[in-house]
Amino acid sequence: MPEANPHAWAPFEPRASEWNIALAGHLLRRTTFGFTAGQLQQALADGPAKTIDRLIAVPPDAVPPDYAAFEQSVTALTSPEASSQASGVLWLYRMRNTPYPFLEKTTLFWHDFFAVDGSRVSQPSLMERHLQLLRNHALGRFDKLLSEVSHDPATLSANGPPTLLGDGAAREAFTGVTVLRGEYHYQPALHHGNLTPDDAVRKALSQPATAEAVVRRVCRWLLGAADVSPSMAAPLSAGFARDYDIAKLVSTILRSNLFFSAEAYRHDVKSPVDFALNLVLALNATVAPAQLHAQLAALGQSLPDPPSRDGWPGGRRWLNAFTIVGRSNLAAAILEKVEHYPDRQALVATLLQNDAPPAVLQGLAQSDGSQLAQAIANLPEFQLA
Amino acid sequence: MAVSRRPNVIGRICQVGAALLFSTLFAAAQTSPAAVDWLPAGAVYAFQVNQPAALQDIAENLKILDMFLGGSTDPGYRLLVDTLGKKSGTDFKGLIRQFTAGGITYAVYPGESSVWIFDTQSPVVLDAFQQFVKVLAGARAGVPVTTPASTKPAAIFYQEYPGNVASWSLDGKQFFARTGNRLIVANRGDVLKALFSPRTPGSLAASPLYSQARQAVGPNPAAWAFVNMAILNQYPPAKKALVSHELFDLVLDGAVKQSLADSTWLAMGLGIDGKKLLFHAATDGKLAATGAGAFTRPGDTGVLPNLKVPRELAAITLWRDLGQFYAQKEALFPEKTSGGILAENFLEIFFTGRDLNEVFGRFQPQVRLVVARQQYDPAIGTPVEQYPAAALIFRVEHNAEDFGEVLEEAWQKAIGLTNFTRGQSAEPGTLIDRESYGGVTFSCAAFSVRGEKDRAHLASRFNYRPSIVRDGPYIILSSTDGLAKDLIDAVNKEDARNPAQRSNAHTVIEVTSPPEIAALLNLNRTALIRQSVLSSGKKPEQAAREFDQNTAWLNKLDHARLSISATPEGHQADLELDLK
Repeated sequence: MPEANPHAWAPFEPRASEWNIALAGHLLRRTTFGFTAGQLQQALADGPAKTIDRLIAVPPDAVPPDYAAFEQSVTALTSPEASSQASGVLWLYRMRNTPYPFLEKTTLFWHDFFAVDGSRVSQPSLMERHLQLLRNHALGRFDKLLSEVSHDPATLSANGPPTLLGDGAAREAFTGVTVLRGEYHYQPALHHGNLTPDDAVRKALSQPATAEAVVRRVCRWLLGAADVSPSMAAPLSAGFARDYDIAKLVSTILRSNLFFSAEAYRHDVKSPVDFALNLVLALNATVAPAQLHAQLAALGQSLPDPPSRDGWPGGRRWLNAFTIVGRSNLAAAILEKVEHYPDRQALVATLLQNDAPPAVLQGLAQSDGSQLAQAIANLPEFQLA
Repeated sequence: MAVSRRPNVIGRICQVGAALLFSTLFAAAQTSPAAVDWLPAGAVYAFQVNQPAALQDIAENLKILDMFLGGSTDPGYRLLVDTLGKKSGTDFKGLIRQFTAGGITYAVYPGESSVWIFDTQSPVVLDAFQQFVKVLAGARAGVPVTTPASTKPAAIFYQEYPGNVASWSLDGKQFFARTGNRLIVANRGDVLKALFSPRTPGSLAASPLYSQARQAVGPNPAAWAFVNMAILNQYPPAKKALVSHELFDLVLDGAVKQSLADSTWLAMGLGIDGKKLLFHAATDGKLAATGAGAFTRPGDTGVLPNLKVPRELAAITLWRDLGQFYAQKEALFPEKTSGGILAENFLEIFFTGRDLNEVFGRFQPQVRLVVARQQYDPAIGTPVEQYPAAALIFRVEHNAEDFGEVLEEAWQKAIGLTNFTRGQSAEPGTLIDRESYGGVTFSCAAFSVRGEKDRAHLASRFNYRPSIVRDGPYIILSSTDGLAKDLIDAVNKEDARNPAQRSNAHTVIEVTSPPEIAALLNLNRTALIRQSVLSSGKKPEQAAREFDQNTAWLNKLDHARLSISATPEGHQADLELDLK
């Protein structure tokens, strides 16, 4: 756990020789689902500040035409009778095709944070609305996001029906809030507590622990397993408690010395989604989202159904004897769908950023095309984010 | 004239057997035997187009050529078509006619070797093509060529021989030879070389399996294909594909697969009769007395005629002995699965503990399926996504009244269980009611529309009003009450005691109204494109284009009928397509 370091959150300002393909790859791995050789070269040429500016500049602040067209195409794919599984399939389609990957990655982070289990939401279309809510506020203000989520029928519905002894019953008794036919309802007659949902949100936000918990969770996401101590997070927590500006928080973390330090570099394990889409996007593979959804579920990441209130355990727990083999098989299935492979040099640069022990790189020089891509996908280095 | 700058590459095809090739090419140019007399025996698969002009007429009518070739923007292709078109005074369709006027032959041999042979009627178009290639090979040979995945050099060469014979390759992947009016394309250089080398094994045409298959497709097919099942059945993936343990596959095509697994050859012929395409397939594989063969052996009986209802889209009539099917369950499903055990348990509950051998044995082997477009009741409303209605029609053996009641009770239990399961996930269930039509009272389960605000945009569940009808010996299981009523009319027109049967046929599938299907698909265009994108990963534009192509093809079709029969000699299938 990184301890207090006065320069940890200071902006990373590398000399030209310090900004290299490995660090550019590190930034793109953490902020996108995958990238092409061209995008990697662009990041290398632009440097960290400009690349982060581009990644964070997402709607709704400015809705460029390409995003509007993309949203229109996704809307056409949204079924009014979609199941939770269909929401996951559509979400994978978004992740694969979005022009704003960091927005989608942040949406996935908030989904993991609030951990609303789509399979428990009574009406499937509610899950689609929930994900859109997270997307709308993903890089906005946390207080607004929390308030919206607390009124969201999917969040309330996933707690279980109030007729059962459980969270739903407790929620109804304390706040008088329930979900009827997919809509949020406040029923004073059922309200036995003295808090409204808005009161609960206000109270939570007034506690310094809230900002600190959110900041540490965001750090854990962006910095990988390099969790930060409360004292280390304090400067960020204090700032976040003032404005709850999510974009500002992630921007500070991404631009920091700590983000580009050895403590964060390849210090996390790729989630199954990241593992698969890294390959898909780098090699422009045509994969069927429905099939990919099932394959990812087999590797432990069924969208949008996190397994517990804490979200997906993540980190090293993504890997075990079964998922290692599963990842290799998934890679083989994806690589079958690749039409054109770049040459060996470009492939190693895009997938591995040339960063592996010399003996490994030498071994890779024996193959090319799908064989090389499969060999890289099986490497420990490729499992790391 | 050799133009390649890579003698080591040319050597792959030319240098080793140059002298041999020279003499045999020349000899071949002089004699030009029929393609199948020239190809060696041992092909795994071969097809011949004997009437290319007639096929091209059909392809043009269906706009297939425009779809695949006409709109190509590939600069190399456009240059070739423009150059050859100018020399021959025709467009790309005319060029295809000229290239194929004498017939097309294709054969695949073990080891992934394949050969195309195009016979033209005049040398003009081949002369122009050869000249084009010669210039291109000369230009390309000066530029280092690499494939995207490899740094290995591609083989580019062009070689001419006396007697108007030439061979060339522009990419090392396809190897060409031209001799007289014949163009040969092989996927490997050594295949091309072997074709021109003296050989002792007989020709493809003279091989016994090929001859038997050729006889089976009749005297003068427009095109026909031969599959050497004796070889193919030794290939593990093919062997695996011909075994099915899925219930639906087993019932529908289990017998056909069993027959193919037992066969040594398969022949598929195409005849053209005006706007009618007649496909005939035959094989020497016979049905076994076990497995799928045990319940798909019509013997002297056969399927009943398809039933006709208003707005019909398609109909299937089958001969499947359900009693035998259940009796064969251990052989058909050798692995006990939890799903299978659960299904059997539920069936025992539905049939109140009756012996399932007895239950299945009560059905006559003639089973029919009808699919029709729905007519929605304005009092109920119209779903956004419109599905066709479908119904299964059975006939039961003696004492139909008693057994019908048992079936209706089982049906009501199944509907109740479905409602219970839907309730568990907070989804609305159905209300079971009794309706009367044509003197018959039947059960119908329907979702309530009470509380539905927008009746013009109902949820897809309103496509279903499952019904069960008992009408004499007939049992109708329908997805809607509307189709159930139409079928009551249809079966009453049939002579229930002695309906017509079609001897030997065990499967007849009719697509009654392809344009109606196209119209229904178009109503659900958005949903189907969505499904295609999410299930295949295609871009929405591509999925939409393919959808429109498919519906356009359906609109070109008037009627289609597939009939499959088991005969003492083997198995055969006939497909008739009536084009508009």
